[in-house]
Amino acid sequence: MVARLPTLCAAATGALLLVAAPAPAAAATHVVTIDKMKYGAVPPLKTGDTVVFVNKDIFRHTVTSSNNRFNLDLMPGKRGTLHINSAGRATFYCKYHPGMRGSMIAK
Amino acid sequence: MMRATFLISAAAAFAVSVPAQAANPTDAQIAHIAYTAGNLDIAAAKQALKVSKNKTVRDFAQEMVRDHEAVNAKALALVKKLHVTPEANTTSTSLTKAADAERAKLGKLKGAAFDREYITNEVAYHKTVNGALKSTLIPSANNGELKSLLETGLTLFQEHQAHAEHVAAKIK
Repeated sequence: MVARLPTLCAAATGALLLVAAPAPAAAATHVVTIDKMKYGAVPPLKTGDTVVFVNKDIFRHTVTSSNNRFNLDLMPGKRGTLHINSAGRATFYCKYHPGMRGSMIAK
Repeated sequence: MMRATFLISAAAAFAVSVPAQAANPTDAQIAHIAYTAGNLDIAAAKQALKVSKNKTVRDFAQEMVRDHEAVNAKALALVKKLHVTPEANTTSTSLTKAADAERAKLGKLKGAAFDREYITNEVAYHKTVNGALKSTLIPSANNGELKSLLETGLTLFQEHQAHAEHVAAKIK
């Protein structure tokens, strides 16, 4: 599953922190594991990066934006991808287990 | 023979506690309790899916079936790998008896009354199982993989309890 993350929103203000896309050469791919009812830490991101969430848990989980910007629904063993297209901070949670929460910051 | 037993309270079918003298269930007994607790909740959820027309309640019930089936499949694979045969005990028997009584009670209800009773019981049930996991089952587990699965189960069931409490508040 691939979801576009067109913008990361500043949570406090809701303002969009749009920036120009960086050169493709600078882009990196980060793998974040979901296991034992927890999201792994998302490293600092740059616009243009890709984050691959891998659900290694035995449960179905989602990576759902707190402000409905993106949603990955991942069955056990599946992976989903977010493309970071703008700078900012985003928080996310699992729709099925809302106590599972995470965040990411892109510069 | 396992000494841990749950006392069924008169106030709520699943409001149970582990008495002070309860101690050290074996891994085989713990596996049986955990598996039984999961199966009973799956059965309750399937009953809800047959009866309830409330989307919030049905979504919750589907989550219970999905998550508990996943835990139980993992538990079965683990006991097979460890060559452990789950052993019936007074705690799993008490849980089953209480669940039978609750199922019969729910069987007489329909509509909003059914939804309220099902969700109220789900809150109490998860609270009970979580208490037992924390106070007795996890500390008593000897095998590291079993302990880890129980710890993941506790995190999951705490989510279920919170979800059930949320649904209960919503359908009041």
